[in-house]
Amino acid sequence: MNATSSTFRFFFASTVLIGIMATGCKPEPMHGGPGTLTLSANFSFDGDSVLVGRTALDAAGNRLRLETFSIYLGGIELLNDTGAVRLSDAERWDAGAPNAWSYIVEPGTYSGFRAHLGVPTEYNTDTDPTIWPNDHPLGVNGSAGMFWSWNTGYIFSKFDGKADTTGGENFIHPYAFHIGGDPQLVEIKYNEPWTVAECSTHEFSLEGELLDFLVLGNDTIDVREDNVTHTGDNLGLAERYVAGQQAAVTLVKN
Amino acid sequence: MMPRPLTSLMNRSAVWLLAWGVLAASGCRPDETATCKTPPGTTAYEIDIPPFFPPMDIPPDNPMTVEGVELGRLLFWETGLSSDSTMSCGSCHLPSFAFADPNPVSTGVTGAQGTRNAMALVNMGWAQHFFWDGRAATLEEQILDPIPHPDEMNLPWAEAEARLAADPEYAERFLTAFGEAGVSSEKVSKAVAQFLRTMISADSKFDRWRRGVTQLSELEFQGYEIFNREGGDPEVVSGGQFGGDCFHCHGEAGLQFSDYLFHNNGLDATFGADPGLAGITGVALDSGRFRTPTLRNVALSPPYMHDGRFQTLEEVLDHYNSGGQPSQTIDPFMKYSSGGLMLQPQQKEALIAFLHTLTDTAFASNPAFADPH
Repeated sequence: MNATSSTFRFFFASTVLIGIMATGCKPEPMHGGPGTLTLSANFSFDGDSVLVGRTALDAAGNRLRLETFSIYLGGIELLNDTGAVRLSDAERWDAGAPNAWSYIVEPGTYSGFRAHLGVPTEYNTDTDPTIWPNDHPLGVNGSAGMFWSWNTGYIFSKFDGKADTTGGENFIHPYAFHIGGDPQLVEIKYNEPWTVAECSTHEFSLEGELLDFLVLGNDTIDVREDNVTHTGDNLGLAERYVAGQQAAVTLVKN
Repeated sequence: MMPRPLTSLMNRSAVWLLAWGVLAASGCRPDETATCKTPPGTTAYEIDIPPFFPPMDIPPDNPMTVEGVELGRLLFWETGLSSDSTMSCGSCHLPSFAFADPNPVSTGVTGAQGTRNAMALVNMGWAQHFFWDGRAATLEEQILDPIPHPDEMNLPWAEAEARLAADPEYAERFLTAFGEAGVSSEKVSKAVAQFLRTMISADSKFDRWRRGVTQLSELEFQGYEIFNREGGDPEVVSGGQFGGDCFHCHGEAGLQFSDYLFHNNGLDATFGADPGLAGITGVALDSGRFRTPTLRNVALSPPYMHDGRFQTLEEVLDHYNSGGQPSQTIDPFMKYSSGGLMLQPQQKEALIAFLHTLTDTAFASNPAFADPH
């Protein structure tokens, strides 16, 4: 082996190394960059934070104690002239664990932004939590308590607990609104054009009062009579709940 | 020292630079690369995930190795880990009972009795929240508890470590399994956890039915349908479907028949004897809530409930048929205010027939899990 070939190998190796270092550990672009969109969900229970054990008087005069509130926010998408850009298939929001999610968005002009209350149809039925990593919101662990194993797929939202139907503090009357099934997937939309500049940040939030889910116009769900639905078994009540939920939740740009 | 020729230095420099470059490229997250590899000299243990099962999450700091699993099996059955050298983990987790205890509560080396039934060890690699009250977040953490517990094996960890370290075979096995000398409670828990993760039950009749290689009988399939239907008389319970209402907590998703969450299933109206999850969280609303056990091998693992109060599956169904004891924390799914499930005798028979399809006798008698001593 002569010195010339060794020198060549040295410089070749150095070039490879520099190339690897340049591309391997410095993801930041040289000029500008994408924007960031943060989505939060600010659900409330009687105007306060959604906490297990909190109680509130509903429109029908029952005092509700909250024991579970979990909801999927799915199909989170930017809207533009050519269609929708999916940012996330699904996120999960639980009582006592307010959450926000950040996404990288390409600079440009968008016609809107939307999320759905529930799991996108393509992942709801004919799929199984095992196709996802266990801790993914739709995975086995991530979906704990939020998956029906036989026919209707994921539980889109779950609002349950016990009530005192006299308005007092004796919580013995159960209520459970467990919503699922593709027809119950609800779109919540921000319908204004907006622009993402390079490296800009944008914040959206879903706002919704849980007690308002039980009221839509003159229709008030009274848990004394209408207290349990798992959707398929009591579709009428599920549809009333979903309608109230859709009217009560808005997507705002902060 | 003789001066080395420049070409030699260049060659060596090039090799080192290349090696460093590769490391730099792959080492942007050194914490991960440092913890996910098996220890030097060990052989990776590949877990064969059964059909329809989810992936098993292995902690990055406790990769599965053949040597670790072997050590874990020895430790699981090691009576020297109890103060009088009479009990091992396997003393309360008997193979013929699906690695559960047939007694309502277990008796420790001192004669003291525990307060809860020893849970079946089945598919622990997919479990979440360990113990009936969920006081251990991980399998490794759970394993640390019984050995020093005064009502169980009653051996302080320091003494347990000293005993193992004084045994040349164990000292060698710890060295081999972890790539470094020394015995510690952490290594014991890691090795036993590796062993427990190999204890996979996936060959019940139900599993074979899912794989399409056998059929459920008419009675078993009827039980399966009852399992997955809402409970209660629709005239009394909104949405009732005369079902067993089992799926809410023992759902089929992930095939473990447990949501691994905590529920008060109406066993008691007051919780002075055992507050369950509330004993850990201090939250009153958690009173009487216990972690849902798996139903895999349920027919092999009586008695039932956290305190082993029911000896048979028939008694369990009678409890749910009764609706349970009302309380402030009873689960909303319990039919306590509407007369219970109202299952008829034939429906109960069908449901029990289905529960028997979750029995995996090959698992219970698997020689790979038996006492190696």
